[in-house]
Formats: sequence, C-alpha cells, structure tokens
Amino acid sequence: MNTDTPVSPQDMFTETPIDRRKRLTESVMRVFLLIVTSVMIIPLLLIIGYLLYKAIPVLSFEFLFSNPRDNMRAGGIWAPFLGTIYLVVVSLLVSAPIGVFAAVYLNEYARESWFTRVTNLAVVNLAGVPSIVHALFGVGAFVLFAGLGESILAASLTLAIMTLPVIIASTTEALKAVPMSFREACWNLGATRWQTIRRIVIPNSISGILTGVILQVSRAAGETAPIMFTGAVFYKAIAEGNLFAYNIIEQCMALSLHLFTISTQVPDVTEGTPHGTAIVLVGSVLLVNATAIVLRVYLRTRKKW
Amino acid sequence: MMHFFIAAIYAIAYAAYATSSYLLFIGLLPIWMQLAVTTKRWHDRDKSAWWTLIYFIPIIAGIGILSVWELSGWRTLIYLIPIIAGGIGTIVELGILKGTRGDNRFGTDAETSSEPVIETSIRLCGISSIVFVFGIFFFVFREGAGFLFNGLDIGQFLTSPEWYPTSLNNKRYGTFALILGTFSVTALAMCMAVPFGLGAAIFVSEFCSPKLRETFKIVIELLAAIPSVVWGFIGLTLMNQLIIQVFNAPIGLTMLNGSIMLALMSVPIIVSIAEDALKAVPDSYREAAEALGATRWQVIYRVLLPAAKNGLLAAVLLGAARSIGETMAVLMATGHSVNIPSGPLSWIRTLTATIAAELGEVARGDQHYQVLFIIGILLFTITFVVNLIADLVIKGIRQQ
Repeated sequence: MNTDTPVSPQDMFTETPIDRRKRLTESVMRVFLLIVTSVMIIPLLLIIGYLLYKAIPVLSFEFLFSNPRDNMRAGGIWAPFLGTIYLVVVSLLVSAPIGVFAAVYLNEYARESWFTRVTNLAVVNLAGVPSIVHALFGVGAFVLFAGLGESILAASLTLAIMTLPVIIASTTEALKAVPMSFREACWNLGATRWQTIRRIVIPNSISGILTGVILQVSRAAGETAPIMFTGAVFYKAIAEGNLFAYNIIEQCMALSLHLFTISTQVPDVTEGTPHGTAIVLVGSVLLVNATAIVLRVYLRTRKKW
Repeated sequence: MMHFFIAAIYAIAYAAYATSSYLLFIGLLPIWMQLAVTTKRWHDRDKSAWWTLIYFIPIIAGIGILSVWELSGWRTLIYLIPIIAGGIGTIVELGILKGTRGDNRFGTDAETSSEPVIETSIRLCGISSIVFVFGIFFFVFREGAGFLFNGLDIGQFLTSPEWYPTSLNNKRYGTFALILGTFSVTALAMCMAVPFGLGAAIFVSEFCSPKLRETFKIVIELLAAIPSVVWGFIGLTLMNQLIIQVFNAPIGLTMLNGSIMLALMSVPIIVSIAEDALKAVPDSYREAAEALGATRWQVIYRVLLPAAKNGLLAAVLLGAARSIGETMAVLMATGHSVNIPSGPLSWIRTLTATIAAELGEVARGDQHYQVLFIIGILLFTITFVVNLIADLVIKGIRQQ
C-alpha cells in the first residue's frame, strides 16, 4: 500500500489482521462458552433418563402404595413416601411463618445498621452450615435437650431451621420487588407500618413468597443427613393406604434415607427398586420446582408495574 | 395468620404434652394462650370476656337433653345438635367476624392495637437467624465440650492420620486423613466446577438472548434441586461403572467419582452468584469499552472480569463451602475408607461422611460420640470462616 496517498474509505473499513484476530477470538469464545453452558444440560437429562430406564419395570401404582417387603429387598415405598410428606409438612408449618416474618423484618422494619448487617450475615451463614452439622444440632437441641426423642417432630424442626434461609431469601426478593411508591402512597393515607405491610406489601408479593415456600418443600424433601439421627428410621411398618398412619412424636421412614439404605446397606435388593425410589424422589422434587418456576413466569407476565 | 400460627404451636405443644410428663409445663402454655386469644377476641367484639363461659352452655344443654329424654341408637346424636350449633356460633363470632371499628370500652381499635404484638413477633422472627446460628454452635459444642477440654490431644486430633475410634485397647482419634480427604475432594471438584461455572455465568449474562437465558437458568435451577442422596446414588451406580470402564480401575468409588458429583452440585451455586456479580457491573462500563471499539470478548476479558473479580471469587468460595459441607454424595461415592489420598483414583473419606456413618453406632456421652461432635465444630468453623470471607469480599465491592 502506498503510504503517501490518503486512506480511502474502502481501506478504512477493510479488515486488518488485528481485526480479524479479534473477530476470530470473539466467535471462538462465544461457541466455546455456549458448549460449556450446554454441557450442563447433559447430566440433568442423563440422570433422569438413566433412572427412568432402570425404573420402568418396577414403577406402578402398587409400587407407590405398598410397603417394603422381605427386609426391604422388594415391595414398594409407601411408608417412606408418607414419612417424607409428614416431615415436609411439619417443617413447613414451622419455617414458613418464621421465615416470612424474618424477611418482613429485614426488608420493612430494619434500618441500615451494624445489627442488620449481622442479621443478614447470620442468614447467609445459616444457609452455609453443612447439613450434617444441622443433624448434630438437631440431636443436641431437639432430641436430647428438649426431650423430644427421635421423632418426626425433632426431625422436622431440624429441617425447618435448615431450610429457613431458603424462605427468607426468596421472600426478601419478593418484598423488594414491590415498588417503594406503593408503600409511600399507603403511608400518606395514614396507614400504619403493619397495615401497609398487610394490605399492600404482602398481597402484591404473595406469588413470590409462595415460590419461596415451594422451594423450601423441595429442599426439605430431598435432605437426608439432618433427619438420619433425629427421627428417620431404616424400617417401620405402617398401615398401607392410611394417610394418618404416623404419629408426629414417633419415628418415620423417609424417601431419601430409604434410597440410601437400600442402595448401600441392604444386600440383594430387587433390580430396579432403588432406581424406582430415586426417580420418585427426583420426580417429586423436580415437579415441585417446576411449579415454582411456572408460578414465577406467570407472575412476571401479569405484573402490573 | 397469627391464629394459624398459634394453632400450630398449640398442636405441637399438645403432642409433646400428651406423651411426656417431663414436659408437663408445656401443657399449661396452650391453655393460657387459648384463653388469652379468646379474651382478646371477645374484647375486640365489644363484649365481656365472661362470654367465654358460653362454651359450657351447649355441653350443659347436651347433658340436660340426655337426662330428660332417654335417647337410644342414632337418636343419641340429637344431643350433638346444641354443641355443633354453639360451636359454629362461637367460631363465627370469634374466628370470622371483624372487631368493632374504632375504640370501644375495652381499648383502642383492634386492628391497630394488636400492632405492637405483631411487630414484636416480627422482630423476634427477624433475629431468629442469629439465635439459630449461635444455637447450632452452642448445642454442638455442648455435646463435644467435655472431651475437647478434658482428654483430647488437639495436636494429635488435627495432625495424626490414625483414625481408630473403635480399637479395643488403643483408641486414636486423628482426623488428618479425613481433613485431607475433604480438602482434596473439594479441590478436585473445584478444578472441574470453576471453569464450567464461570464460563456458564459469562455466557448466560453476556452472550445469551433473553429466551435462551431463561432456559439455561431453569436448567441450572433444576440441577440445583436434585437431592444429594440422588447424586450419591448416581455416583454409586452409573459413575462407578463408567470409571471402572474408562480407567480400568478395580473399583469406581473413588475421589474422582466423589468430586464429579460435588462439581455437579456446586456448579449451580457458582453460576448464580457469578452471574449476579457480572450483572452488578454498571452498563456504562460496557458501553464505554464498546465505544472504544472493543469486541464483546475484549469487554468481558479486559473490563468485566476485573470489575467483577470480587463477586466471582465469592462465587467460587461459596461453591467450595458447599462441597466441604456435602455429606451424602461423598459418603456414597468416594469409597469411604480412611486413607491419605494419593491420586484421583484413590479412595478417601471425608469429615462429613465420618459423622454420618458413625454417629448412629456410638453410645451417647462416649469419647467417640464426643469426637464426632468435635468434628462437627471443626466443620462449622471451616464453613463459617469461608462464608464470612465470601461475605466480606462481596461487601468489599459494594463499598467501592
């Protein structure tokens, strides 16, 4: 190229080697990151596919509604399934009100101060405590100190404290999404803080709060370590088909612990039974999560502000 | 809501009361609460609390009916009528109807006068997390303290690889191999999870169309929802076979197996926190860089990553904390054998798995039992410190 002549418009927009390298890096990175991200879909599909494939021969209504038989080598999952429902419901009764109120406090009452920071830090740390340490806490506090013994109640309380941060986090998100102008308008009409919360803030964020509660259900249903020593047992026979077969001051079976037991502790389990248990567990948890996702998407489409 | 909450406490307390004389005092609590709520509701309705005695009228009426007429067979059900009618009446009066508007002779307007009570309970719930964190430390510490201060050689506990808690004549409680197991499996898991996690976070936050972003976020959320015992089961069956075939190993339950499971479990956390960190970088940074002619990748590499580096570090730390604390997956997938790890294909054992496997078999108050709680304190401390650092790192960005 002759350097004496001024650069023509065509030359200005033609690609230099540097430009080409930039463009190449750009597209290589884009494709690379796309692959990296897409790789994460594979384990999800692989796990569900593998479990379903292995579990198809045993899956039936009878599997769900009959008790384990022959020292848990065969039979269904009724007792553990019902036990998990009990644990989830009781823990929800405890953690939902406390979690929602805690989030209301953090978002609506607390001012910016060192105390609020410590509270927020405590929520983060509570979420980070290992599940097995929650189990030790449950043994020390509920089973022994409070005298509840190994029972559904003790296990549920342990689960409730463990899942509290889930509810607090998502309720805080939901409350934050309510515009400040809504509150200000309400205060200007002479309403008190609590009236504003009850009539304006909570009705406008109820779907978000529900999402948090639903996620708590999914989390509590899958946990194993915290209930192992606080209330779940390897085996307990209950009446089939009776929804009130457990007493909350007694022990129960649980789906997650049952999966652990029959896949590691019991020899010669019927082929497919552990896979069937696993798919029921994963299926219930994913179904609950899917409900939360649908609820969230629905909420976003009808949001008025 | 309040009434529902009280009813729940009432039910739980009653269940405890019904079975354990040790907890007799709890039995008085629900009666007192019931009376308090009832009295308050009568006053809200501008009626004297003596109306509570109306509860007895249907019962007396029932007894009266029974004594006047000799009822037999299904006719005995007639005496239930006044009870049911009275019950429905009080439920409507106390449970459904609103309090009188404005002040009445018993006090100020019900809706605003109950506020201090509600606000107090909101405040109590607000600080509950602090109470629980301290409670966890206190109760775990309480069970382990006896042996920790009296008898345990802490130097040996932390540095000896000899874990023989059930040996008959020479019990040794060295957790060095377990600590090494926990950290090696976590390190290997992070080697896999960090590139994938950060890569996915960058892609989702910077390259994606909104629709694709939603899809990926749902996938990541579902991945995070899979219970740890199911990951352990996958490690035990599918991954076990895979490792045996690929590496020609005698057994597939190894550190590699465990860390693949841990990586899959911690990727969702890393992605979501890293994405938040990238999103927190102001758009003006991106616009300024693009105005200078930078490509998208240059913007990310030269501007976004340095600007968001604290948040990304926090994401990695929280992912690691999750891996350190994970129990069921490593219990089932790593071979569970006390061993100084020598490579990805050696079998190992972690701190968490040791507690989970042995707590069920020890007697309460035993040295071994207390040592398991001391391991719990160690785990609590490790994750607490990691979380604290992550929090400080995140707060660091906000202040900039």
